[in-house]
Amino acid sequence: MLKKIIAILFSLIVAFSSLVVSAATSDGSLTYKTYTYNNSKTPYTIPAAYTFEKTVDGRSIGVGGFSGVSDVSYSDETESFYIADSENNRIVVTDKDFTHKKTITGFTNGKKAEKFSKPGNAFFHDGKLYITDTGNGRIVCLNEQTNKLVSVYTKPKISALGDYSYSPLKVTVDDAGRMYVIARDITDGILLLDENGQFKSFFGAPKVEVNAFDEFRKRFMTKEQREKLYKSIPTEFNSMAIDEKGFLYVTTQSSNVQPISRLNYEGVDVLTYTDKYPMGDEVYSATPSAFVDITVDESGCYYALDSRKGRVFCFDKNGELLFVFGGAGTQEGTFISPISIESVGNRIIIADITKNTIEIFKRTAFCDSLFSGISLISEGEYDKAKVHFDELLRNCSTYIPAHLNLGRIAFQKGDFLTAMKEYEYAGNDDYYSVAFKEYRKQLMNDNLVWLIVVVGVIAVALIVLSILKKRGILKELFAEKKWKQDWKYVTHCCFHPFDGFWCVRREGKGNLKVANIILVLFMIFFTVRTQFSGYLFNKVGDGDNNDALLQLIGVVVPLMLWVVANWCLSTLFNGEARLKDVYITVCYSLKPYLLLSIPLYVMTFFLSIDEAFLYTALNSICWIWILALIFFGTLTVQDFSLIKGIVSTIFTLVGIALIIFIALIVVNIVQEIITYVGDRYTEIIYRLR
Amino acid sequence: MKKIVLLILCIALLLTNLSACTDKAITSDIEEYRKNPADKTKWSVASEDVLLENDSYSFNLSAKDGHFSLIDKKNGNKWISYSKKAPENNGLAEIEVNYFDAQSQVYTMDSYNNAAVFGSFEVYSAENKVKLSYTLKTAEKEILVPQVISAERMEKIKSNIEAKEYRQILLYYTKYSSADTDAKTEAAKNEYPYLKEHDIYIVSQGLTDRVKQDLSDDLYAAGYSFEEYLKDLEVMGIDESDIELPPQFKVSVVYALTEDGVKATIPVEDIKNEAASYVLQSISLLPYFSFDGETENEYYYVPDGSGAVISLADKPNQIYKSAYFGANLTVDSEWSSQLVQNNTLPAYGYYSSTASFMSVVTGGAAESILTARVKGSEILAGGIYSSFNLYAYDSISIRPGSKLSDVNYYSKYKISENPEVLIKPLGGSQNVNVISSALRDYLIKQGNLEEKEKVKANTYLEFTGYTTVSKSFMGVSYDEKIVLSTIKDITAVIEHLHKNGVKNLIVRLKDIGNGGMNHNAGNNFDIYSGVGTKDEVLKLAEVLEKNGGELFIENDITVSYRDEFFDGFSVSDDTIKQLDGSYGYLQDFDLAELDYKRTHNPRYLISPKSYKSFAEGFLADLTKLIGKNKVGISWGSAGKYLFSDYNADSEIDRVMSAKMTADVLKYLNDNGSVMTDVGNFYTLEYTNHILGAPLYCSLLSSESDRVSVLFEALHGCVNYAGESLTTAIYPDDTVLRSVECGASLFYSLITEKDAFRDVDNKMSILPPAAEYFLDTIIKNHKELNGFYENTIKAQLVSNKQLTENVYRTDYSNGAYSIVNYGDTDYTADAITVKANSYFLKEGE
Repeated sequence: MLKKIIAILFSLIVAFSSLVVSAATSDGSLTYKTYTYNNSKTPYTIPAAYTFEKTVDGRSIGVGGFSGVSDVSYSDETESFYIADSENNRIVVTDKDFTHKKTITGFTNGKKAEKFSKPGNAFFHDGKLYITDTGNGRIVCLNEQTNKLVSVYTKPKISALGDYSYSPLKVTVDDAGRMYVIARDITDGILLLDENGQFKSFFGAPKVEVNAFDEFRKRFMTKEQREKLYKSIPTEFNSMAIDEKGFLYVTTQSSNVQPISRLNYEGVDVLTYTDKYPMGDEVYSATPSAFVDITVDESGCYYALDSRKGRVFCFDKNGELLFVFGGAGTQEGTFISPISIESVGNRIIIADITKNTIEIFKRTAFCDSLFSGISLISEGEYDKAKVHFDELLRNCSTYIPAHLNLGRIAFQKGDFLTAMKEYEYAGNDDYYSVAFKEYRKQLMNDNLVWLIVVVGVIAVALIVLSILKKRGILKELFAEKKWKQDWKYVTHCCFHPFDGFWCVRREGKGNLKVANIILVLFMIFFTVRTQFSGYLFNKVGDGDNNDALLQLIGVVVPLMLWVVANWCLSTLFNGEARLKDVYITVCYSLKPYLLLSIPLYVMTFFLSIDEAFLYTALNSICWIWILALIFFGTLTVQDFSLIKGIVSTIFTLVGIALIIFIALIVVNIVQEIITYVGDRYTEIIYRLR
Repeated sequence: MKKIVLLILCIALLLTNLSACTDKAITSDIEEYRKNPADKTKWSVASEDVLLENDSYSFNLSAKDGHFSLIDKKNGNKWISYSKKAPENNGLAEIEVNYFDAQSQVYTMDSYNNAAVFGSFEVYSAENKVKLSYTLKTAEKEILVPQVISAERMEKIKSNIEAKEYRQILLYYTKYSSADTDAKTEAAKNEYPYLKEHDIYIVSQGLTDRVKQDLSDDLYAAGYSFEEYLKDLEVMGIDESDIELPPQFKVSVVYALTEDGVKATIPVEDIKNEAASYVLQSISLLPYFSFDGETENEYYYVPDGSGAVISLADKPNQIYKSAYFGANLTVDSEWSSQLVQNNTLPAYGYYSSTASFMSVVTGGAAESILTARVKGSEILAGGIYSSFNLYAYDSISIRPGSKLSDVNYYSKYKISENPEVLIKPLGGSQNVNVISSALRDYLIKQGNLEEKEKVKANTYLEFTGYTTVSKSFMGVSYDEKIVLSTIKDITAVIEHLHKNGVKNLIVRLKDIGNGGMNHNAGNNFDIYSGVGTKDEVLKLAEVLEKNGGELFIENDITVSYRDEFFDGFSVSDDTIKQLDGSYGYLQDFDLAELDYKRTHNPRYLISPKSYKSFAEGFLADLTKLIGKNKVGISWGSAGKYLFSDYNADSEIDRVMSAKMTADVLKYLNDNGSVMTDVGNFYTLEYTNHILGAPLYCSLLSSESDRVSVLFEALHGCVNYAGESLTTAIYPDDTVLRSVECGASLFYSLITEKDAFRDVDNKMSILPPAAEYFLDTIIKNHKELNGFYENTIKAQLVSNKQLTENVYRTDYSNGAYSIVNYGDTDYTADAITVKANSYFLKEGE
């Protein structure tokens, strides 16, 4: 016994020591409301992030009404807006205050004057203006200053597509002069063209993951068939924006692909995405967001434009949703068909293709505080950043991004406990886990001496007790009593099931009272673990703590059904066990849960998410042990052979299914009757009114 | 034992009787609200044009077409009841009606095309009044295809037409003899019992429109008429509702000339529906009333929030449409997905360089919708007018996903008050102030508003007491109370503000008992011990009073978040019922889905019939605990929401609901000072303070600009504050707009920091901790109080836009404010107003 205790204590000390080592690093005037989502993915109002400033249209610029304004882009270098007035076949250029500078309707190619046809967008890069001349199936590159033609890029040759229809919709150019082109009806990805307009590759469509079966299937295909196989998931991108580091942000409405991606130079999505925050209003499956454009600001925050509900979703560079603003409607600052978005300083510019207007939104003080805080964190100015996030919480105490960033600040400053609190409030388990590991490390470092002292004292106490027992001192305490013997027998059953359970039936060693006590203790332990485990394991372990009762029922009821079904079938299989024997066997089989629950429960307060496998492994061992005991125990008390035991187990499971099936049928019939009567009653009442 | 049983039986009997008596009393009270004053006017038939005249106006009604003209004697401006710019025959009617058929299809008729052109109206006159009774029908002669014709009638028809036409009629009618006993005849006898003793002719099914028209012509030619057909039906014992009759409605309109202008009234009792399968749902009154002359710079004024104007030149083809006093959330189809302001005033108007008019809906406003339609194409005439729901209706699906078609439900009773509109002609103006000053004068004259000495330059603070959070243990849910403010801390905050010179503090304590933020029905009063005690409340009231302030306790009678045992609230008796018979709920608006969702903080809507008893219960408890007149009473939602109740036994329309609300406010006012939110018109007479008054209009695309007519009417009569600065979605703008509108500043706060951390079921911005905002309150008070003191008793005479982002407000004492919403400084007349700031100039 003493050996066992010492062994357990030793293993615990080793475990803690290894943890110490391994945890080294880790309206107002507004016609719409601004909101974000809470941890239950329910939207809640926050102070306005952007307020509507004014509307600009062709008349106010002085070029006559727009018709089908499809894109608006801005260049810091020229301080100009480039508005693609598609149906009017022109690009309107204005200064930053929307004062008209020039209108480009075409160019001179040699001696021939050519006109644009339904231009999709205009993108400024390195003194040149790249224009998608959609109707003419080409990209035109002009000198921004002189409007003189630099180059015309016609349909690129793409062998995989053969003779295809080419209608470029959007073009963006990177620092190397490579062009990224979104073309109509091309679902293989974005066309990557070199500076001469030659096709290099498809870009951005997620690769199809090939499984073993596909590999096997391919061995029986012809070369042509293999070539026809999709190498990437069909994706039709509808917009893109390039950030300062050359990453390409893209949006798509293809249902099988993530709506927003951040593509690196290889076309691989590197967007940090957290499912804590919906990517759009996706919690409402009936009307999910339909992103049509995206823009990135200087701080790395990106804004996606939802055309379905006329909203702008702003995420920070960590993929966390900061806020949503805007709306569909006929009020000032709302949209009918928003099509294009651009971020310019502290303003957001949105083009509406139906209203043929450009709506300008101005950042509020609340949003200024938010972005200042985010920027200051990037610069390592944590104290200054904290002032901003505290300010945000003064205005909106439930604003989750503020809590998250306060958590980050506290973490960086080594205040891990505060970080944990803030992350817990923000509902971010991953960050919490990292902060928790650091906190644990800090705690262990600070209290290692005390911990060793406590463990030592316990070890000494156990040794002393053992000696006292051996010498017969404290005889009373260690005297063998009936209940102790029965309790010990249960443990015996757990480690020697064939011997133990045989005697339960044959020698009457099973004790109904003890079985009942074990079942009650099991229920208590189960509830405590479900309800009161550590924060991280309440989420990742036993599930939501609100339905503890339901979970308990989900375990106890099947066990009792097993008892009843197995007993019922024992006659069929010439089993020898009585109902009482099967019940005792099942209850005794739960003893491992009682043995392992305490260490499992304690672990939930010490392990991080990374180390959850330890918990999961031990928990799995516990349940496998229980199930094995139930199986072999039942087999033994019924005196079945292994084959007969397996067959009876299958039949018992079928019996359980039958009982559940019958119960469900009864419930279903009752429900149907209630619904039928309710519907008829409602209809009669409604029709009679 | 027998005695006990007998005693129990007696008590049960007594209780039953008592409850029946109570129901009866409530029902009879409700009927009192439904009564319209009886028309005792002695009308005489007028066969010629009618001329009414007084010192200010001359009114001339044409007996030929029902049009009238109104001449303003002050300036000679002539107004007409129709539009001369009307395309085709649109825009020539004095009333328009909407009606539904049995399949819930909506149709329109008007007094010109469906009555006047047929001469289907009579004119009656009395002293200073004239009445037109229209019979609205789809054609001069309704298509006459009787479903059943008696044999006697057929004989008469036969004798009046030639044999060829008679044979034509018989082609489509089958004769049934009373003597026959075949199955077909027996079935017909069951349907028409008259057949048991008399022969009849039944029309064939599926006649084409052409055949119907020919048949109708033949029958009219035979001297048969629609009126005779109705009489025949009566003789045959056939109920009109069993027969498909063409739509025909009788509607009257009364014009009365007063010193304030012309008043147009629709007497509800005169409205008759001749065809039971149609429902006359709404009536528009004077939709094309217009100026008969040349003018320019035309604008409509609509009372949307603070007020808005619509430029007729800039907004072609645009239509503004909105109910007065907010949408009726008892009727699902009125729920809007847009965030709009209430039309708090039942008024509208028109102004132009030459002529203007101001209009007030003096009857049925709560069941009325304002429409302002700008003419742009040649299809419709423009106009600004009110339409009245004669019957409330809702289109309801029996069960989502069910194959059963949607059903239209209508209220049982017609509108409880005669729809009535007053139109007061005014002189030409380039500014909406011509309307706002006329409106203010009118409301003061009518006693709706009163220039009060008691109005003060206040600062408003609101403190929320506590909330409950639903928690569960082992799946068993329970409520945990979270204290948000304590009275002690509130008192400390107030004393701090007093020390810093912030006086005249009006404090509203909200959710301090009775379940907190998710409160029970407001039929009682208690204080949660975690928040404070009655002595602390009394001390707070005393501290405030000594420094010119006042304490209010909020009691929300409009909704109840829960129904508990012995709480005096019964869902079946006290909850509003919708038209489909289901209970009415108020829910939080889902920002993502743009819908009110049943899962978002649902609360029962209390029926207006229970308001009075709930208010009495609250007041009794308050008096018992705190004492009489120690504190003011706030009923915020009274001025914000207005609900109808379609309980089959005690139907209450919004007009009655408004009156009931006003009566309860009067009762509360008799027992102390009263505060409400938003400030719907029917509350103004009994309200001393309005919080959350709409500082903006809804900024709809049909609107050209926001104006401040609401505040030009209210200033100096009622204390008001705009949206709370601490929970506003755009607080920076709210301060500026409050200054522009002369609105006091309002802060919603709590005293416990971080108290909301555990509250994640609220979808709105929650009040912040007071300590964060004390400096802001003191700073704002220092900057604004002097100006507010100087202007509070003066009239707000003008509010106009100087440049794109700069507005100026003038007061009758010469004071003015200039507010700059722009990002650049504004300079004019040696005055510079900094960006996002204001300039204040005090008056005499």
